[in-house]
Amino acid sequence: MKLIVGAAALSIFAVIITSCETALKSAPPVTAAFIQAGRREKADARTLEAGRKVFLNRCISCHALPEIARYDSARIPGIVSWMSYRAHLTPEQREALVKYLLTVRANSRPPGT
Amino acid sequence: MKLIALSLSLLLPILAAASAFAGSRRFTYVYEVTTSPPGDVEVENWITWKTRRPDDRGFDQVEFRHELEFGITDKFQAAIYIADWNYHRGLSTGERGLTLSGSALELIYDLTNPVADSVGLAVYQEFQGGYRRFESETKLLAQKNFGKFVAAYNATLEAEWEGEGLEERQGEFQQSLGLSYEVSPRLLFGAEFVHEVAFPDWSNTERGKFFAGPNISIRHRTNWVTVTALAQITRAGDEPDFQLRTVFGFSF
Repeated sequence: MKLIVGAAALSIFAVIITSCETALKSAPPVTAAFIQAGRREKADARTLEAGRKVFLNRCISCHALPEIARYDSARIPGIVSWMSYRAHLTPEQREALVKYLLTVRANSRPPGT
Repeated sequence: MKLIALSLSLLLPILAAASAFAGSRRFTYVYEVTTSPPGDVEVENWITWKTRRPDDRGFDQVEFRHELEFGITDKFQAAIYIADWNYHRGLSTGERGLTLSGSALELIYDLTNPVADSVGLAVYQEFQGGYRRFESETKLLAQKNFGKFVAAYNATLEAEWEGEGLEERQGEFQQSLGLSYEVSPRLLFGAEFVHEVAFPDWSNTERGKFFAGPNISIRHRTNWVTVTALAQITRAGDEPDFQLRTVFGFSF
C-alpha cells in the first residue's frame, strides 16, 4: 500500500515538474535577458510582464498555449488581432501581448533545430 | 419521450446562433478554474436528460438551466441562472409534468493560474432559491493544464433546505474529476467522473454513488457545445442509470 501511495505521489510530483517546464517553455518569465531581447520590439519590462499576464490568463480560456517558435513573426500580430475580440482585449493589452510573443519568438529556436 | 429528450439534448445546441470561444467549457459536470474575461457576457443553456432508475424503470427527466454569465474582472465572474426547470415522468416522480425549481446566483473567484502555478485554484459559491426551497453550493475548484491536456477537480459541499418553514434539510458532498485533451482548438475529447455522498438530515450518510463517462466539446467560430454521457457505476436505486448533459453557449 505504501508503495502504491509513494508511486502515486512521485508520479504527481513528476507531472507537476514537467508541466511547470512546459509552462515556462510556452510562456517564459520576463528575466533581465528577456527584457534585453524585448528592446528590439521597443518593449519595456512592464509591457512584457503585461503581455505575459494576458497570455497566461486570457489565451488559456480558449486553447492550450501554443509553441510560439512554430509561428512566423510576421503572422503573430494578425493572429493576436483576430483573437483579441474573443478575448475582450483592450488595445493596450493587445499591443503588450504582441510585443511579448514577438520577444518569445525572437528568443526561441525553430522546432527541429 | 426518449427520442424527444435525446433530440433536445443534441440538436438544440447545433441550431444555436453564433457566439465566442471565451468562457467555453471543456466539461459539463466539472467546473474549470478559468473565468470569463471582464466585459464578456455569455448565455449558456444546459439540458440534462436522466433516464432509468434501478427502482423505477420508467423514469425519465429532462432538466433545463438558462445561465447568463458576466466577466467582472480578470479573476472574478458572476452568473445568474434565470430559471431551472424540468419535465419528468415515472412512478417515482408522481404525476408527469413540469416543475420549476428556482433561480440561482453564482460567483467564481480565481486564486491561482492553472498554467503558471503548480495548481490552479478557484472558489465557487452558488445560492439557489425557489418555492419553499433554498440551496447553497460551495466548491473548491482545482485545475492543471499540461499543454493540450487539462485535468480539473471539484470538491462540492451542498446544503439544502425545503418545506413550508424550510425545516427539511439535507446535505451532499460531491467530488468530480474531468480529463480533457485538445485535439485542436475546435475539438476536445475527455472523460468525467462524479462521486456523490448524501447526508439526509445531516445525521445519516447514504452510500456513495459513482458515475463516469466520456465527453466531447466542439467549438466553431463563436459557438461551442459540450456533451457528456454518464453511466451510473454503482446501483443506487434513486439515481438514473444514464444521464446525458449538453451545455451550449454564445457570448456577446
